[in-house]
Amino acid sequence: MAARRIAKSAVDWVAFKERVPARQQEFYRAFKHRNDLFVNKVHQYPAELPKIDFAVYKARLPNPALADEFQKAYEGLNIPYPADKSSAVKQIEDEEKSAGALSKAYIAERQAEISDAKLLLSKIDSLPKPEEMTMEMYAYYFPDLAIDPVKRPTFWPHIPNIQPGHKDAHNL
Amino acid sequence: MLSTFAVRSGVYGSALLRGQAPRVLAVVPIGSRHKSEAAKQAETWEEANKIFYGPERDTKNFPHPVMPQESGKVRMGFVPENWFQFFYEKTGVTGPYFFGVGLVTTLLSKEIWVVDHGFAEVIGFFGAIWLLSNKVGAGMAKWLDNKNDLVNKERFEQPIVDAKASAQEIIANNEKAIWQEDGQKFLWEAKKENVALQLESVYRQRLAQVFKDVKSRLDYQLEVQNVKRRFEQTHMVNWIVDNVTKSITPQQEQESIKVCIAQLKKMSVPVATA
Repeated sequence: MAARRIAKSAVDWVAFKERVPARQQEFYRAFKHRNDLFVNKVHQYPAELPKIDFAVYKARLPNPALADEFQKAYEGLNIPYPADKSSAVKQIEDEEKSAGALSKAYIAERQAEISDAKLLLSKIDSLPKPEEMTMEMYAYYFPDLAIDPVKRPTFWPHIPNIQPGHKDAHNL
Repeated sequence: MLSTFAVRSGVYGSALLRGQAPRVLAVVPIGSRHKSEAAKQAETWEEANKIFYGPERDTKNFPHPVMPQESGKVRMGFVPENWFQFFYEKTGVTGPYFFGVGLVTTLLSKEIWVVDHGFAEVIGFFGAIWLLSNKVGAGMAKWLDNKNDLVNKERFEQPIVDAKASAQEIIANNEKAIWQEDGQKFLWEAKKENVALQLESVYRQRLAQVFKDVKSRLDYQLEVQNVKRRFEQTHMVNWIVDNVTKSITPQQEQESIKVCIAQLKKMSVPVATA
């Protein structure tokens, strides 16, 4: 036989299930069900060509040569293993390749987030202690949030909810 | 006196609370921002660190100002300790007291500090302050300190704790996502396996088909033979019986009947006599 013979699923479905995100568990279940169907279909029939008791036929048939002929033909029979005509495997491999590119990008994105978080973790302890922090230092460490009368002039006392345009500004 | 708790608690807390916009250590959650922003923030911090704590900063001559947690020591409730130290170098222990008394005496005698009708208020004023700082001062300082600690926690400590927690969570979540993404290999394996399983099932169907067909042909041959033999047998039997019945003449029939009756009679006698 050219293709590999397979009788039961070699995939580690338990490990697979663990790795499926919670929101995709339903798809996983459907997929597993499909696989189970295929396995059941395989097990409907025996794996090998069933034996025929030619001795009985030889004894009973008036023409044992006929039985012999049948036996020879039956034992010499080469049943072709079905070929993957629609090249489904190739399609799957192509799909795998394109999905692999996507997942590589996704993993790169996740890695970037991880490295960002690690960077933050490593740097956050380098911030000065609150008793050392002056307003000037705050402006250096957080230039986007400190009071900046040149770039972002605000009204005293420089809190957001009294600035014009804020939704609570009319209360004042 | 008032300055005892004014430095420690009041100034900082109330200034932060009322006078200014809330200054929070704003650590933006990472998940919601663009990739380079964490790096940008880290860069900003590093630059600021270089300015305030870097090698170019002369921390010896210009030490970093640190907000005192407690006010300096005082004598007699309000006179700073370091004034006494300043006099101690030059005049000894009694010098500062002598200077104080002399100063007040001078002011009074030169009528720089005029004793007028309002002079009694001075005594009352300092008396009231002494009374308040003794009776209410401790509680007030505690209250303000608590407030101050709350502000500290809310504006400085909690954001840092939160940011660390969220960073840890982001790391854990992303690592899990990567791990789950790696699980795709199972999917492709299973998909290929599904194809193989279908091929296998078709192959097995073919095997079963061959078996069924060959066996049915053999059975057919067997059945043909059986039918033939049965037919031959019945035909033979019928033929023999027919021929025998045909060969019997009426005379033979009568004779045989007679013989039969005689035999019957013979058989009936013993029964009758018995």
